[in-house]
Amino acid sequence: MRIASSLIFRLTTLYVLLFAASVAILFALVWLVTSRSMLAQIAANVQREAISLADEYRATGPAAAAASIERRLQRGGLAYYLLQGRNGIWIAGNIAPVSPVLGPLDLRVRLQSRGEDGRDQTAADLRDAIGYGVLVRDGTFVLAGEDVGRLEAARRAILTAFAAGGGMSVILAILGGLILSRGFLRRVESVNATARLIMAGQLEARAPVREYGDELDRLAANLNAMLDRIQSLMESLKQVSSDIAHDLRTPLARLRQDLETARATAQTVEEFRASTDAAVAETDGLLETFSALLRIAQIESGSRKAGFATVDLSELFDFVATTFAAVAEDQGQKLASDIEGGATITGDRELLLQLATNLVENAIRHTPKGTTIELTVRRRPREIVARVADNGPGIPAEERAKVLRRFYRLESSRTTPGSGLGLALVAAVAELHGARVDLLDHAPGLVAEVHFPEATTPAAEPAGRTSVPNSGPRLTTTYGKRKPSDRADP
Amino acid sequence: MKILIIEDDRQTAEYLAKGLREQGHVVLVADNGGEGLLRAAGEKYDIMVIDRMLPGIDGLRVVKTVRGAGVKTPILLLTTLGGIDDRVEGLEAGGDDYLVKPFAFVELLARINALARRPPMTDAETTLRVADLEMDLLKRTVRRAGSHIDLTPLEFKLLEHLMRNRSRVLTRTMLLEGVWGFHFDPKTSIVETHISRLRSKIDKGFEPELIHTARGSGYVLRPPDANR
Repeated sequence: MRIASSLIFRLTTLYVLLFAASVAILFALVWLVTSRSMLAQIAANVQREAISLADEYRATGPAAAAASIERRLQRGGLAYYLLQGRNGIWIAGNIAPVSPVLGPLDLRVRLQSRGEDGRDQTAADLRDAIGYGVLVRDGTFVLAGEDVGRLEAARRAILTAFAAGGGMSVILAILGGLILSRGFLRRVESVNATARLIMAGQLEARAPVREYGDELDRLAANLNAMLDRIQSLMESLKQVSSDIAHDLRTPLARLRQDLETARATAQTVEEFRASTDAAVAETDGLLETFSALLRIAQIESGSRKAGFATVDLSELFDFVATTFAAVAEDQGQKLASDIEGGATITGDRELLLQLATNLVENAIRHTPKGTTIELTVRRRPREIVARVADNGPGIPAEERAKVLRRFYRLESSRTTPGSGLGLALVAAVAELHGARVDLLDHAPGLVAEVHFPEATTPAAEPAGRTSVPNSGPRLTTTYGKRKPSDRADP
Repeated sequence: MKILIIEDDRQTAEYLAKGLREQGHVVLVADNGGEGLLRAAGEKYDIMVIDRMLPGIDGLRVVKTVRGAGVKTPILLLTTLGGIDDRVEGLEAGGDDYLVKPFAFVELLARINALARRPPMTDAETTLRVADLEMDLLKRTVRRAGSHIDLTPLEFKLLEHLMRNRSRVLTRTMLLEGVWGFHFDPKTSIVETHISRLRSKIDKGFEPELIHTARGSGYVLRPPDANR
């Protein structure tokens, strides 16, 4: 049932049919050609015999010719001979007299022989023959003929040969088809078995791949690669859900606790207010986390790509530097910036603003007083590198890749407020822009580098420093830009 | 002021209506888009607060229809948590401001006040003046009591925003959106830091103080004679 419905079986059947058809055509051709050449040969033979017999009759007379016919019959020459007198009188030969027709002819003959008693005995059955008739001058008719039965026998032999050969071939083709079909089925079945295992929950099952690398192996390899990708996506999804569950449980528990405190132990309005304020703060934190998650999900969906426009990264990072230099200073840190002008990419300004903000805020919030944070933007061949470096405590090498994940927080920063989504959002925005985020060791401290692919060649603009658009009077605060001569490319 | 609220969530609608009435406003509530449209077409309001997600005719359609009918009433759109694209869509449809639920009531109040008294945009205006504080928008200079004050471009922008909205409380979020273009919540005290710097330049050594902190809600630049 399964074999009958398999593709290879159907292909085999088709192949067998085609093969049989070609055998039949070949057979027909052989049949035709053979028949024709045999007919020609028979015609030539009967003509030669008839003429030679006629010549003999003319030279030696009827008695000698009759003897010659006897000899020829005994020698096993042709099947039929006839020597017939002027008035259709039988003289010699083995068939009954016929109406004399000259040249090649198809005719039906009766066997006839002269018995001991001198009476002619004529057989009842008619036989198909090919003959050649010659009329000698005195009216005597000479006929030599060959039985068509010999041709039929030859034809039958050909038919038998073809039937046997063709039959064998068809059987072999069917057998081969079945064997191939079973082999193919077995390999497809192994892929199916893998699929069933996966559906049954064994997600790590993979289709076997042989070393030959044929189409089926490539199919299996591709399926495996696809399964690997799906599994990794599922694992990250699982990770996210469990992270959400875990990370929201704590603030929810605190929220509950705050409300309980308000309900059960608060005596004065102040106490009550303090508890509810704490509850509101927890709620805000939760909402912020949700909001950040949704934002990341929305960014990852790629829908924002539709609104991409040219963004001047130099101007954007300069603006961010201006904004946060004061914040850093208030926290006893120093934010220095060195931004190369004319770095433009195609992107979403709002998201890039958040990327820059998150990177800088990350540096400000996770480093102690006295830390220097450097913000640089450089145009490199085919890419733009935005870099935020600090000389704070840094991140251990093995943790660096993890902090780009959702909710991942270093042990040391568990106590600082925050959702643990800031760098995950950076990673999502970078990916949307085809950019790469590198977290490197600044020895000491951390360097976050975002490598943006340069989309378009910016308008001819001297590669100098940029300034914020409405450059009015500017107060030089701690965030003084380095002079171009100070610039040292890393 | 006469305010129309189109909001399907009864609890939210009541919370808003109660709060706004306490502030002395006249509030009408419609709980679906169709009724909202009828009310919006029937009477003149000073402000419309429209929820984006409404049963029947959704909020965006209401805004588009109202705008299509030539109604110029300021519209504040409300939305549930999340969508970054929502804001753009809402403003493109003809909304004037956008607030993400849940929000603090003071935030809504501040935005309604800012919307209601949004001055007609006069490009001809080249000088802003609050008490003895003077801003020349062409030369980009600031003087107080006749003496020049040196500001960074960012401080200039912040002061300009405060002066254009004089006597109106601007929340932290409003300043972040208006001055910085940040439509997200930064984790550091950007606004506080820059306001404090601006104060030290504008108010330090001058009398009276112009930049005030509105407790729990935001900041306001107010001339001394203005009533609270």
